[in-house]
Amino acid sequence: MEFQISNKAKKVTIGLMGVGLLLLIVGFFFQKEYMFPTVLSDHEVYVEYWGDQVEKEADVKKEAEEAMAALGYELDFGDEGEEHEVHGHNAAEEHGDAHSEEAHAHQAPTFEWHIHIKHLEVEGEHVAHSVGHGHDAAPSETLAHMFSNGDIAMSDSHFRRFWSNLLVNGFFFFGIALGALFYLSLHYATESGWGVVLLRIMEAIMSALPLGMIVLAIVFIGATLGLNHIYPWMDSDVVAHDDLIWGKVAYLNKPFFWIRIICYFGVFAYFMNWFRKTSRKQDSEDVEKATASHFLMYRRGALFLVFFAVFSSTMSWDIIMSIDTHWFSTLFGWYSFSGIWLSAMIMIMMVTLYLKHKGNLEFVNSAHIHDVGKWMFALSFLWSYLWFSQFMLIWYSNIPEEVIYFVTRIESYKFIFFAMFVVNFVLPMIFLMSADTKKSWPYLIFIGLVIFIGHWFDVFCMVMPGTLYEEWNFGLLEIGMFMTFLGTFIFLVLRSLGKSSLVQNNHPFLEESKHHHG
Amino acid sequence: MTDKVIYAMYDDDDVTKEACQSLVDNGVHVADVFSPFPIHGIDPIIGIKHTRLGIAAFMYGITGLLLAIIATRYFMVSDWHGINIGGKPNFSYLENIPSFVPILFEFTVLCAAHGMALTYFLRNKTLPGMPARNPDPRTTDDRFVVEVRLAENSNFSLDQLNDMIKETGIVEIDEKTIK
Amino acid sequence: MHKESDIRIPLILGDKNYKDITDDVIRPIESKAPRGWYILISIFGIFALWGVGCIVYLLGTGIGVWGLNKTVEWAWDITNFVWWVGIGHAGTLISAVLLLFRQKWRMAINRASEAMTIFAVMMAGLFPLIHMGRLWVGYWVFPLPNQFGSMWVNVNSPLFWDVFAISTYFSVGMVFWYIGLIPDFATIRDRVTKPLAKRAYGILSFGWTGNAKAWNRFEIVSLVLAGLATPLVFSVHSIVSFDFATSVIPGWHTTIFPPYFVSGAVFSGFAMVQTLMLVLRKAFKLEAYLHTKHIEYMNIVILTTGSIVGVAYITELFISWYSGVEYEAYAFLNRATGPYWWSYAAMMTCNVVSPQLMWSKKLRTNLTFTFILAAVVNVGMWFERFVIIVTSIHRDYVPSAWSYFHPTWVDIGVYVGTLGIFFVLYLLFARYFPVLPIAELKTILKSSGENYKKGFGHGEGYYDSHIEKH
Repeated sequence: MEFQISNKAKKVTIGLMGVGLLLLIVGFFFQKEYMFPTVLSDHEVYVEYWGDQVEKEADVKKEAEEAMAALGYELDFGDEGEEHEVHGHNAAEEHGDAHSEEAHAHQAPTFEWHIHIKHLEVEGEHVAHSVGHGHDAAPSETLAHMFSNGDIAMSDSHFRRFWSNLLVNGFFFFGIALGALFYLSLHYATESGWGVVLLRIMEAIMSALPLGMIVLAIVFIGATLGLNHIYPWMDSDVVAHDDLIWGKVAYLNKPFFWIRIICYFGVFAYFMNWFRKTSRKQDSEDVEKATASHFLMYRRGALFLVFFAVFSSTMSWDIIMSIDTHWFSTLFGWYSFSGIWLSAMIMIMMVTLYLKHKGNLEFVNSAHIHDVGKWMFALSFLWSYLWFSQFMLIWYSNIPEEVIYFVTRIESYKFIFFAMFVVNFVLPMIFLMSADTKKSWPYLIFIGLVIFIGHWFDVFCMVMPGTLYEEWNFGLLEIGMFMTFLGTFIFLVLRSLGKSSLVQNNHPFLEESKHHHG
Repeated sequence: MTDKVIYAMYDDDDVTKEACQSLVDNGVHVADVFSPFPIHGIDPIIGIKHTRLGIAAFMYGITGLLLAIIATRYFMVSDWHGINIGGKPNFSYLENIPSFVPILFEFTVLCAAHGMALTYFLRNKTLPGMPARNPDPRTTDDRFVVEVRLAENSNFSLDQLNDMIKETGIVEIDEKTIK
Repeated sequence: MHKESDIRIPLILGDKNYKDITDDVIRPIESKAPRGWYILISIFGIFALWGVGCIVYLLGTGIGVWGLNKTVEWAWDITNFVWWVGIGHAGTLISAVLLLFRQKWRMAINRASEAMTIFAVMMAGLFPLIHMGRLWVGYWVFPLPNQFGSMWVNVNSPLFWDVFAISTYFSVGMVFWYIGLIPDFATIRDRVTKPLAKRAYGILSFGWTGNAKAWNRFEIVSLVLAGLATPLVFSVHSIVSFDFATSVIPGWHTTIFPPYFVSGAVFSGFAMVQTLMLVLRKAFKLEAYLHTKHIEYMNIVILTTGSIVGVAYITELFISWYSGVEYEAYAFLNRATGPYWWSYAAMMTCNVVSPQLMWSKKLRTNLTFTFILAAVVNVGMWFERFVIIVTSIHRDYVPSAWSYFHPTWVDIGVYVGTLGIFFVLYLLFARYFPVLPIAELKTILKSSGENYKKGFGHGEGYYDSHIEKH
């Protein structure tokens, strides 16, 4: 059975990439760097700015003034003289050694405003009166809100949102390919028979591994060169002033990090290629040789699982957990692995349904689809179980150094953090419980797509609070980049499917798989 | 009202299945099949509907979940309102829900499993002390018995039925009159 | 029909038919018990009596007769509890998880290991009960309406979760086991001749008929119970781990505990299954149904779960350093190099190093080696619980409170007693209950039986032609 990527599929995936790229570019120019307000009274707001774009202070001031003027208020940015004095102080510091300047920068904001809000008087009348009358909020609240939700903010010179999204998508799609590789080796190592007719689909999905690896490598190179600050421990100034991170330097340092990353990527890429090559070679072998190849893959599958058992944990510590460098959780590796595995299973299901729809999989019957559906259901449960275990234990013990992780998420990401969990747990739990829905295409496609996006948000919640803090946003940049990645990934998978027969004709368990029923 | 029952005995599950298929194809209604183990694929042939015990289990489970929610809410939030245990005062159910989840889960499973098991025993009429009701003691060992009732096959005479059954690879045939 | 690949090794060896399966499994029940059975049950009976005596003494005198002290207020009692619960995980895992995974080889071991599960959970439940001191008010652990005002059980407490988890697990496991036993009891009922036996098995078999609808229900009930038991089995040991992990004690509080405890439980459970089954197959001559391949599969499970446990140990150790929390780091340093270094060393050797020998096909198919290794794993898993529990608390925050635990003869007596009770129950089970699932084995004879696969006695391809004929 052969498959060739159709023109329509090509158009759709490339279109997805194109539109995504367009949105991404537009979104790219709306990255913000926030200023942090504190409301002091109805007419007083204190604003801090911690970034390094001192020169833009006047522009932002103007922006704030204009915004408030439209509401009928005028702003007084504290005592001018005093403000200058603060600046002068900073300027003097800059001539000192770099260390003390950095130390200072970590203690005090770059600049701070003490804003007094007055009613704008136009020809002796209180214009603001009529405007502000209907609102309960004090003008200071209104202004503070504009700062805290990013309406008035600097544009981000470090493109943190872009880099963070690159990491989220890179890791998510890397995980899908890796999850397919994992499941393939599991299938061999456990001598499973039922899924033989799906093995080529897993092979195609795992062949998209380089996409994730390249993107992650770009993020890591950027981090190493200081183009982004995703990993605080890569910043020697931070490390020098942070005892906790300093204590982790033996593990978290750039050379060792790179050695580990090269190990992971090297091992994964090697096994991925080896499995593809061997299974293709098997297609043209006689029965005896094909059986020998099968047993070779059985042993290699087990070997890969050994590597994977260690690497899946350390990899997620390195790539994700070390973003929140102070924080630690022993379960983190297994938790993120369960998400990876589930996302891969959804991808396998979707590609299978697509190919079946196109009429390319004559041996795949409803029992196979049912089984993949069972995996989706079971892995959703596994993921929820691990999420709950990690959350509940940290919540229950309430130890400050651990619970901070969830405190930041609940403070600034409350909705997506909990909504993500509820959707990813409840939806499959209710709708995929029955055997009928596990075979029903509409259910599988709908639930599958929703929890696929749900698990993207899971990765989002793992990364963003550590890189963007409360300055996150969800907009064109996120949507665009996800679309670009999705389009590219599917394109790569479909192209790869066309490179070999869709069935491993000489697999010794092929007959079992063909006759598989419930 | 009395009825004649024919018990056809076979020594293989696949032969039994084929026999039922051929009888049903001839228009015979097969009342039941007794076997020492489940014969896969025989249910649709002799017209046995899929059991709804799975749905029952789901309903029992939901009931258990609701009961557990009501109980934990009553103990911890209504009755013990605001008591601070381990730095987690019981003001609202939702805020302390992580520590109720284990109970909710266990009670759901408890009700689903036992509810279903009880229903299963009642529906099968298998209860301690019930007498054995299989037509031949060998049906729990290595024999398979197909039961055909005359009253349910009024189109055929007893002899016709016997002849048809005898063509299906039986090892024994037996007739009984039941009330 | 299920087509099974030729490269798969048959699960039922020899030229067996349906009748042979019935005969082979029921023979030990019908024949006289061998002398070995009487010897074993006497020895373990003495252990059991000794244990009961210790428990009576404990209840009459007080918990002080254990070696507990102000710092180590949990030691052998909870170690034994977790150890037994852990052993009680294999049965349900085999019958539920492996059923969902359609692993047919489970049929050789599921009945006996479910029995083991039930007895092990009974032994586990004993420890919290006697630790209460006043056994007769044991029912207070349940949230019952009462006359003391608002006296409820604290739903926030992991110990209360444990009550629910263990009792749910025990009762559901029991029902699952019994539903599977009913058809087999009916088989015995329909062949035994002695009136007393006939009557007894008649009552036990609940009047099972084996008609098509009953089997239809049976299969669905088994499947749904398996589906319920699978998350249940995960939840039980997770909740046991919550007893420790919800605390703030370094060495106890770590997020990996739930899945790692589950994995450890399966690990020790399978080791116990190996120990019991290796004896059982020999004594009852069940080699045709439980042969080297089955043993090898179980050894692979032991290897896998042992490696997962090993990864978890290393993870804990690494993160204790990585965390930068000095208490956390000290707890682990103290485990490995403190006064209890020997228990840590025993745990690491038995649980992490020794299962790795199973990578060798030669060793994992060697029955003597398997038997020894299973015992080693069981010892190792006992030490694991001991290490987690005692080494984490014996050095309190204030050095003046540091302490060392010495078990008393009552500690040892109760433990040995539970081993005795467990084996007595198991021997009774083996004597009077069908140790293999007769009905289920018959369903796999045609797809996985050697005669049908190889066609011996009837020639190659007998089964396929047999099918085509009809």
